[in-house]
Amino acid sequence: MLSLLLEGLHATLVITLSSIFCTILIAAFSGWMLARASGFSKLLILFYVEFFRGTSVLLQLFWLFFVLPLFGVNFSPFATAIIALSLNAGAYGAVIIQAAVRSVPKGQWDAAASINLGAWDTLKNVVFPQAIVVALPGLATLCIEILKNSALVSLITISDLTFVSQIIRSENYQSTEIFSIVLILYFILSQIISFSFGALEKRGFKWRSSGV
Amino acid sequence: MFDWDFLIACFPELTDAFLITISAAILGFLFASIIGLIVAVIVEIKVPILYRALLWGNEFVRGTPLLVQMFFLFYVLPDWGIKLGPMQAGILALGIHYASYCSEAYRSGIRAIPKSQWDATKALNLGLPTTLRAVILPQMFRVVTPMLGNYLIAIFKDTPLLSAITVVEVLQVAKILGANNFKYLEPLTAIGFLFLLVSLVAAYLVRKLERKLELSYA
Repeated sequence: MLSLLLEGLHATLVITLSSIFCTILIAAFSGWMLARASGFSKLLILFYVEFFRGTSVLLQLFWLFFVLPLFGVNFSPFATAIIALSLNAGAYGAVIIQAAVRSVPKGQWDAAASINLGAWDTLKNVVFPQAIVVALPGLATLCIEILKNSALVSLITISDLTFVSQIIRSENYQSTEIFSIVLILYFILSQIISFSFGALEKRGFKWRSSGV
Repeated sequence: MFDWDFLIACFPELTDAFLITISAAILGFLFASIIGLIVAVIVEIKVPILYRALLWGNEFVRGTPLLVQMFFLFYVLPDWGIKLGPMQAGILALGIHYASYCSEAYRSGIRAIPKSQWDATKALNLGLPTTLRAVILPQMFRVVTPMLGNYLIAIFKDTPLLSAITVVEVLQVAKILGANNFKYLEPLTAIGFLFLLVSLVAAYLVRKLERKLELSYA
C-alpha cells in the first residue's frame, strides 16, 4: 500500500510541477499580450482566455483525451494531462498577469522611455519588480488550483494519488483510512505551495525596492 | 469529419442531461451559500473554539481536491451508516467545497461594513440576532452578491465531476454516446459549447448586477 501511495504521489507531483511551469509561461505570454498588444493578436488571446475560462476543466481534459486522437494527434495521457491543466490555468493566469502589468503606473513606462531604456531593460528592471508583487498572491491561489485540478487526471487513466486511492479502496475496502490519508497529503502539498509563495512574496518586496 | 446528423440525434439526450447538471449546480450553490453564511457569522462574531475549528476546516477544504472530497462522501459515509445516493453525495460535496469559498466572501463583506455600524447597534441596545438580520447582513449582501454569482458559475463548471461518482449528468451522457457510436467529437464539442454559452451569459449577468449594485450605493 505504501509503495502504491508513493507512486501516486510521484505522479501527482510531476504533473502538478510541470503544469505549474507551463502555466507560468502561457500566463506570462498571454497576460503580457492582453495588457500591451492590440488588434488581431489581442483578440486571439482574448478568445483563448474566454474559451478556457468559460468551460469546465474536466471537459477540456476529456476533449483533448478522446477527440485529439481522431485528428491523428496522439499524446500520451501524461502529456494530455499537462497540456489540459496548463491551458486551463494559463487562461486564469493571463488575467492575473494582465492586471499586474496594468498596475504599473504609466509614468513608469514614460520614465523608462525618457531615459532611453530598451524594451528588455524596461521589462526586467522597471515593470517586472513592480508587477510581480501584485501578481504573486493570485499566482499562489492558481498553483493550488492546479494541484487540486490534477486529481482529475485520474479519470483519464493516469495513476496519480487519487487513482491510487481508488485502487487501494477496491482492494481492501478501508475507505475511511485511505481517503483521509490522501486528503491530508493533498493538504500538505497545498500548504507547501502556499508557504513557498509567501517566501517569494517577501523576496518580491525586496526586488521592488532594489531591482532584480 | 463533423457529423451534424449524429449531433442532432444526440441533442435531446444531451439537453435532458444538461438540465440535471444545471439543477445539481443550483442545489449545490444553495447549500454552499447557506453553509457559508453560517460559517462566516460564527467566525466573525468569534464563537469561542468553534471559530478556530471552522477556520482550519475552511483552510483544509480549500486545500484539497473536490474530486477526492466527493469520493470521501460517496465511499466513506456509508461505512458510518449514512447512505447517500450519488447525486446527493455530489451535491453535498459541491456545497461543502464552495461553502469554504462563499464564507470567505461573506467574511470580506462583513468586514467591509464600517465599525460605526456595530457601535450604533450597541448604542441602540439591539440584540445580536437583530443586529445581524437588520443591520449587518443586508449591507453585506450588497457587497457579496457579485462574488456569489461568480461562485455559482464556478460550481456549474465543476458539476461534470459528478460523473466520477456515477451520476448521469451531461458529461457522462456525452461519454456514453461517444463510446456507443465511436464518435466522441460531436457530443463532447456540443457540450463544450453549451457550457461556454451558459457561463458567458451568466458572467455577463453577474457583471451587470455588479454595476447595478455599485450605482445604487451613491
